Amino acid sequence: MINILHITDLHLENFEGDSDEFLRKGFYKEYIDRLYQSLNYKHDSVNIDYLIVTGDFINIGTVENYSSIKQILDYIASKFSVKPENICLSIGNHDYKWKELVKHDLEAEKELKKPFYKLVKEYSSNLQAENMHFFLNPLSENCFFLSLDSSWNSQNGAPGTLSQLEEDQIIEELRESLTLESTLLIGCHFPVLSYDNNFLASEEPNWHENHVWIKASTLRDRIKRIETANTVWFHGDVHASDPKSIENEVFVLTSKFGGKTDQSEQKRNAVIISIDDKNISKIICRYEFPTHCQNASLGDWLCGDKQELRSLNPVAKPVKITTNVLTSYNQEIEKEILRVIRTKELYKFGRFHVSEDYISLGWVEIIKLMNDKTLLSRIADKSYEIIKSNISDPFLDSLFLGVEIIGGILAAQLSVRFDANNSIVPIRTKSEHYSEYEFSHSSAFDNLASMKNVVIFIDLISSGKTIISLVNEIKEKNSSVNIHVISVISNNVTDRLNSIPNSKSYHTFCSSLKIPIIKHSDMPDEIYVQPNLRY
Amino acid sequence: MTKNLYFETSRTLFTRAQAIVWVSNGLSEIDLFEKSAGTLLSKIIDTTPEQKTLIVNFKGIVRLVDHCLDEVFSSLEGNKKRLIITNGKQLHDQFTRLKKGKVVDIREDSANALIVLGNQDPIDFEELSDERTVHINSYISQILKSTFKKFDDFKRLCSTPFLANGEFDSKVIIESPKDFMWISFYLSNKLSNIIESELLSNVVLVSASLRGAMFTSILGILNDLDYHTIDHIGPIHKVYDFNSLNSEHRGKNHIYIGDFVFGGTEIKLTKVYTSFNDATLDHALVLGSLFNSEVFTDFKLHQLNTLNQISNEAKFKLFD
Repeated sequence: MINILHITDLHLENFEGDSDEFLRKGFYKEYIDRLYQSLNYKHDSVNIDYLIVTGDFINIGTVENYSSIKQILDYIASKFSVKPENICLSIGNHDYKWKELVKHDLEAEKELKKPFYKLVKEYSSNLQAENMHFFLNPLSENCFFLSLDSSWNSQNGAPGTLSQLEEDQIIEELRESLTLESTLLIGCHFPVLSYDNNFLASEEPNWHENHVWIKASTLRDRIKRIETANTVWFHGDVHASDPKSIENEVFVLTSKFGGKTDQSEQKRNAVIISIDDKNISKIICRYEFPTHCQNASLGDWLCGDKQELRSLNPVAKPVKITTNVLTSYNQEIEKEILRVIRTKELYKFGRFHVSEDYISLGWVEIIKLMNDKTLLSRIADKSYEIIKSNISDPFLDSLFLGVEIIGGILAAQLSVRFDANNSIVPIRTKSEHYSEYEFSHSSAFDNLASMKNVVIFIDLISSGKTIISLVNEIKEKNSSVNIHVISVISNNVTDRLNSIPNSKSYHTFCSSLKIPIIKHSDMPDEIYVQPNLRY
Repeated sequence: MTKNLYFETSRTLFTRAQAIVWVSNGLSEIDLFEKSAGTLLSKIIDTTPEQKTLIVNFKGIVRLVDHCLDEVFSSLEGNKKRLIITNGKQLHDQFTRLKKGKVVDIREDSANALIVLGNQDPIDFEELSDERTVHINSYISQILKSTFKKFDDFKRLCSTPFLANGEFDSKVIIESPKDFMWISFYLSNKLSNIIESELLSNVVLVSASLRGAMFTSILGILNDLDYHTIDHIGPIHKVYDFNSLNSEHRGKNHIYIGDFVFGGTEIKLTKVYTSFNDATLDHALVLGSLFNSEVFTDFKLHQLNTLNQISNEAKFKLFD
């Protein structure tokens, strides 16, 4: 069993002065003591083996604070009986003066990051690869800490970029060091996957570009392919907490530990991850702010129950990468979709012939819904993020297919952003809605054999028959193409389509609306119930 | 992608700020110039040779965020490059404020309604502007021409009494990211002119076909107008939606947006639909029309060109 204490985002700015920071000189010991007491009150004998801190030790490049940071880290280590060599650090975007970078200049960037690496050397004197985009620290025979610099080669404090060579160097070192029995702990300030339920994600423009290390998706996939006993990613930056397990990966996103006490809306967290041969589990500790306008120093830590994140019995083997999990991609957009449908009365009940096989008992006037410019543009912007996190540049061998009017609009508008091929797919061809001129496929569609990725935009997935048929048609033309499906609404019926066979990913912006469908053969004859609309 | 964002002539590179915003930030805040838009603009400046002038049309941009021009000023500093801002007079003070410590000259040329950044050597802007106009008109003509696909023989055009030796397919434009973006801006300017010259208020855009909807949506976003699509009236009149009228648009001025017009049936039917909503439809903006505008009396047709002028290969005759 190993226990890891994860904290992140200390944002130390004014240690000595009369500040209102949690980690100020006059309060940090009390703050840490309370955490220790709360953890031990709730859980007897949790012996912490490793302390992982994932960046933003200081605020906006105030490098003069590193000596104070060392005091704080030393105190945490002594309190939790963690050996100094087991303190594992990774750099964040606040940990150097990136604003002094005028242009991309790696040598200047390395120079600016030296104060951080000086701190790292205080705990890991044997490290060979210092001041680089990564270092691998062997903590024990079977446990390794990989520190990734997710701000590497970034000029503006946003997630950075690794060259192919730099990525290869990481993989090469991991492959040389890790075995089937190894546990790999990865410290990486910016998350490598989206956390879309974060309230900040819906409010801050370009949130994903500024806070998600999208460009590391290939690195993540390559690390995933290395067979180890466990791989656990530790993230910070976004000031929200959400440890989760996806297939054989575990991601521990922890909210900030430090910062000013007046920012009471942002949670303060510390997370304890326990790994044994049966499972990986989490204990989330959160700082409860005092009520009745009392001073924030009067708050206290509250540690929750131990909860399983991932079962290791039997050990899951790495699986083929797939993200076929239906999710409402953004809760705010879903709320807005439902609000517009409700307020504009866009949901009708009746007998709607929607396909050769099915009758829908519900009908959403989706064209009117998407006449809302703001809603349409927000869906397009979020679709942009979905695509960026699923497909790597360049997009010349990607095709955006827009089904019918709404899909076509999204495909055309988004293809401009990516410089990707696009095509409109009218699907009501059998019902003679379209002329030959309209439903003739484009040359882009005919060139499917040369495409690596296809993104399908569709307004509404009801029974799923149409989208499955379209995906299969594409797969027949090109069996190796990666297909991603993005729908505005996906029907939330009992036997809903949670994944689309042969597609690599499936996302929707509204997954909670129910639209009952029924086979023609199960409906009363039309002489009793006239159809409202005919396919 | 950057190459799609500008045009190059012998003496200029020119682009539009909203095109940069579309690519860098999307369409949800098309009036806002953000830092990533500035990064993209600085890349274009870096691409521009010193002997050429970069002209950026800031029409539609009303807000600049702090730091959005940091890299732009860095790209203009220490060289003889010149950036000219058109339709951005209202942003002059913000440009000056955002310059911060950078050594870049900024001058307002009120005679030509320009802001000149960087190299302040005298230039004849009128000549550069003419060069720009000729280039964009030629580009638009070319992409309209590219929509014509010749048949082996004359065929009847769906829902019309005409036989034609080919068809005009606006899908060719929609499927080309660069062409779709620039024709959208071109149509957006035409639409603004129609609304201004015809003194229209309470305007709603309406389309009635699959391809028309692609243009209607983007014009609604770029011009901040309501829009609506009837699914659909043309070429085949088979309305799929059981309730195509939108009560919010009752009594408003509709402008029909479409691609190519022959007899104008689609527009007339759309006019009938809108009249059921106590609304008017007196104007239509399309890419091309078989006939001159004067032929249509039920509405005023605004077209980029006639089909014969778009492609002199196109031949039409009445179905016998």
